[in-house]
Amino acid sequence: MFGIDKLTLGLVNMALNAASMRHTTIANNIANAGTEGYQPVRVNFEEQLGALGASSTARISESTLAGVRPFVEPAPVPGNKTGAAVMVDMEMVRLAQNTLLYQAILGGLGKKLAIVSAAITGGRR
Amino acid sequence: MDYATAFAISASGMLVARTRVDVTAVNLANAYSTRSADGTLFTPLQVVAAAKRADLFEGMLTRADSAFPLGGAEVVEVRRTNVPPRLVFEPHHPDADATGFVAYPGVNPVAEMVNLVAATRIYEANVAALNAAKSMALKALDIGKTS
Repeated sequence: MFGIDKLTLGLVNMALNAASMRHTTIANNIANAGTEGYQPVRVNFEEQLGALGASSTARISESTLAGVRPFVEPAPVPGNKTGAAVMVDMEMVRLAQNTLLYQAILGGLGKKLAIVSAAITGGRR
Repeated sequence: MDYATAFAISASGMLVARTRVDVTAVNLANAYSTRSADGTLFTPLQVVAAAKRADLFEGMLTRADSAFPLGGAEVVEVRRTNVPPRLVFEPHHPDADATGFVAYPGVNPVAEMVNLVAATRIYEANVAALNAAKSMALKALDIGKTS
């Protein structure tokens, strides 16, 4: 059914929030690139969605989605604990990745809404 | 998209990087200063930065249950290092001691230049993060736009 279904929009909304939150964590990590003893942070979101898909054979529904929520957690620091824990190059890669992801989600949302719009206008322009 | 938070965090990082550049400039400018403002020998300065608590920002991304409030970085203090002075034999200098040696600040030009380049790069990284936030926010304005 073509509708402004709550499941897709709910997922899109959550993914956008997660990407926005991830941007904040990356910005925070970069801002603290020179801070001694700083603990880098990351966002936990895709793991939850993945676990959801792996655990239940049923389709993802609104009720199973209710337990999924992006949150900030400490990022695992790689073995070399010499000085700054933040790797600026990796953060920049994640930054570019996250920006593209955010824009891709918005592009998908726009397409979805365009379909709804086409249904409303009966295909006429 | 919470622009205000992302912008504030990147701005705080830029401020820290700029302070490091400023302090490096002060150290290099005073490489030949035999007296500081208070009459004692100038000693190279050092920036101490720390992660900032989020509650200092208004409207931060602080969920009540978030154990990691994100507040950017801040300069805690600019402190004087206890680098030993560089002694140069200049008997006719007004600040020469009894043996004819003048104490110049122990500014290490190589370390200062490394610090300068590193701070510049970190500043650029913060600007890139700021621009990414801006492009994300602008893209969000295009939701539902049919073109």
